[in-house]
Amino acid sequence: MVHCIHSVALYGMDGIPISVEADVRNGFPAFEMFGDLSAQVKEAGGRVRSALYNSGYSMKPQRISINLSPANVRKEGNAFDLPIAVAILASFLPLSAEKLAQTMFAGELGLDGSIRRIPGILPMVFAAREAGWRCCVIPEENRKEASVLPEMELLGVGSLQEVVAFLTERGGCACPAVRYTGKEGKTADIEESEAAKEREAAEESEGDRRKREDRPDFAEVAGQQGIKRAIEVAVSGRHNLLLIGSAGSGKTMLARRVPGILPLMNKKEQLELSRLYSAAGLLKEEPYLIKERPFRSPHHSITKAAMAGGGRIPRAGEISLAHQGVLFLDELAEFSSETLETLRQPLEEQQITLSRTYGTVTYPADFFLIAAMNPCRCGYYPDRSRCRCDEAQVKRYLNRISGPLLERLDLVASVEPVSWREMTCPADGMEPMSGIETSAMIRERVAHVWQIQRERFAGEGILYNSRMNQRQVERYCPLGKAERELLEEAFLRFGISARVYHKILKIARTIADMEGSERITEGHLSEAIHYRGAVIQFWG
Amino acid sequence: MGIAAEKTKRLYWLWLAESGLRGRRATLLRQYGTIEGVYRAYVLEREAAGEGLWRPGIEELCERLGDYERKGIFFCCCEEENYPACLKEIYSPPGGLYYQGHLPGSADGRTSLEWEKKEKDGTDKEIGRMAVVGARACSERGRGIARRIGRELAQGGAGVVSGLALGIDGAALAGAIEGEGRAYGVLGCGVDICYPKENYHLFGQVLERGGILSEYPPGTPPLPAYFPQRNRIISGLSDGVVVIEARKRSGSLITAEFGLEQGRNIYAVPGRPEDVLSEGCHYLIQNGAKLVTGAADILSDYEFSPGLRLDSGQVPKILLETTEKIVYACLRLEPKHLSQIQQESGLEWQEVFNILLKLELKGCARQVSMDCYVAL
Repeated sequence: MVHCIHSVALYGMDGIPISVEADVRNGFPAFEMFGDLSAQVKEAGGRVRSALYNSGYSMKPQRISINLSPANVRKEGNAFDLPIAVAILASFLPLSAEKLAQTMFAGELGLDGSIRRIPGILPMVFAAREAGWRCCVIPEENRKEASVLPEMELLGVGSLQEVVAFLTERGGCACPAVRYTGKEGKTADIEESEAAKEREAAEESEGDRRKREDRPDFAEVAGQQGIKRAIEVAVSGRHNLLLIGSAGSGKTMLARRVPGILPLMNKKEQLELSRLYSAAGLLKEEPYLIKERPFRSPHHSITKAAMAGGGRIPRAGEISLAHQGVLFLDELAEFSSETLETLRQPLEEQQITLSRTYGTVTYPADFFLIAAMNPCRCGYYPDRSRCRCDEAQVKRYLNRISGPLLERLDLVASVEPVSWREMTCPADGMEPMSGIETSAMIRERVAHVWQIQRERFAGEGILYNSRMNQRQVERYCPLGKAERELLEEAFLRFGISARVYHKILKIARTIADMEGSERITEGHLSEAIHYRGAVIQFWG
Repeated sequence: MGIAAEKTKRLYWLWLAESGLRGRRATLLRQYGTIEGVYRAYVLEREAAGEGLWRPGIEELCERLGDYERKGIFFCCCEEENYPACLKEIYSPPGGLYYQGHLPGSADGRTSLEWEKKEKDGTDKEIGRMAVVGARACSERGRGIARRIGRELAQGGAGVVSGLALGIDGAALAGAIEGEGRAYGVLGCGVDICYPKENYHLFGQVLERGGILSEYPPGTPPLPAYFPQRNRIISGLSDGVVVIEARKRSGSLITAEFGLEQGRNIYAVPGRPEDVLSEGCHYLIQNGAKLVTGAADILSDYEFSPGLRLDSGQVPKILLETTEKIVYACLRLEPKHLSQIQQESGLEWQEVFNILLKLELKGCARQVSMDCYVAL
């Protein structure tokens, strides 16, 4: 009899349900596998036979045919060892058909029958839940990673025998590693486990707080009030930021602290991000549920594929790994222009669609872009005692950034090296420690501004000021007479383009929101022009 | 000397300028006596001996000269009348000059009508010429000073000679044009090449108000080796050399040194002692150059017709509000960073942004680089 074993093929950060069938019958001894398999999956045959033999199941020389269906989906990875083994076992062992029908199997086999960890368990469990299966049999090493997802019964197994024990016994299982809750004890167990989970959650948040305290904090940044303000404006309205400053002025230090002032993620966002990281094989240790916003800072030698994502079945790139967090591009001018151009679509659509040999995958890429660069090649302009670059060289350096990309970097701010006074200020008692803002304080304000925007754009399909389209700008950014005149004068003086005009209005809207002001005042507007003005003048 | 003979002579010199023997001019003249002798020795005798390297011949040169003139490029040899007299007296004067526009101190037959009229009125009389040179990578303050001195010199009746480079040189020429005086650019490449190309606009203006000169044939690329040599022409054409912002061991000091050799007056504008851009100027002052802060200090050394208007440091007649005055008072000629302005003024950030924007719109301040402002 042919049994149908459930498994999942990973496809981007989604899983596709796969059924694994094994037909074992008399005939010329052979082991054949079908179903659009990659070399990795084809190797499973050898591992499965050895694992079965070493687990004590000697098989007669028979003809074994394995089919992974649907056959038109490409299958990659090492997760199919276990389902293939179970499919073969099912052909001669009395396994519970009921359990087989409701269980997803995934795991890699060792030749001794041990079951080893696999990447991307979280999207697989997600897919199992969506397919309506009740239980997942996965490697024990992956159990914690998968347990991020509530309301799913997980069985972490370390060897093939444990799997067989589970499938042959009625109800629970003898193995201590197993946490399977059968039909009978379900309600009680779940109640208990939920209480435990709540306790766990409380403990975790305590741990999280401690961890957050260890993280880089804005309180440690001495002085630099101007740039801190610019960063807060950028974060509040999700305006992408370009930092320009000489070497050693603290661009990287500032950027590292930005994830800390982004409002905390909600459960759904945490799960999505964890799933993404699991699919990328990066979820290897605690915490399995990612609660902190990621900070990705790829080196400037990065390739296009690593930045955007790539592969025959595309894997997530840096822009997706920075989803919900910060993508920091240090030395922006050194990145290849090809790599930078890949950012353009995701910056507009907050996701990236990759089409490759075996299909098309869409990854989320809702990242906050911070770029940093030097003001000139030597890095010291306009300090003439150290910089000998002439104006043409400075311009040439700045012009390495293409116009379209520059247009997507909404805010441009300069980072000035900290003066000695600023650095030693707290020690001198000129400004008491208590006067320095911590990241938590800034985060609260940012969260408040995000809330204002969420309420304003309810039903508009956007969340942030920076995402307003032209119609929305006209609707939400009305100007008074004085403001209109100021903008007009600046428009004529600096030769502002229509797109920059709208950008300035969006930034001004954010600044007004930060102050809880319904109206955009002259002050808000001139600050916005300032953040954009440099670009107009120095790249023009 | 007949016109034909003069033209032939010009052609001989053109041959010398284009033949690659330019640098050996003095030796050759000593050896062969006249330029004609040199030409004969090389083109006729050597070629007869089978060394066919010393063409072009007279007819071809004549054609080439015609080509240049169609492009607005003229050639003047050192034996001609309109060749600048002051150049004749220097060591190793160029055998000939290619030029567009006008030659300094000349009244050749090709002056524009407007120029002639002004000359007759006496409103555009050139009393002397000053070389104004300095660093390419200059500070905003230096640029301002160069522009002012150029303008004042022009208003005082002196033409400005410089190198048409970025930075001080270009700013001084731009100042001379502002002051409606004469401006001459001496290039280290062919006069048909606008180098650096950022000065394209200035190039055109200098052509209108003076001339572009070079000893190198049209089409010569700007090679580093040509520039120090070019500096002897800059100082040679001038009565004095003004140095604004020069590093030690810079091209500007080479120009000053040439000027010294040629018996020109040397002037230097001082700067802050710790500034590397002042080092060259301070070195000159220590060695006897005259310290100057404005064109008046220079012009007082020369005779110039009285009654010339010389406005000293224009004060912008713009009304500023109180807070604007506070911010304006914080600004200097050196770029100052925004955060410093905010700290010194003690105003709120947004107010500082607002006021700086307004000052900029009123033309009282300028953002010279990212977040750095200077007063104007």
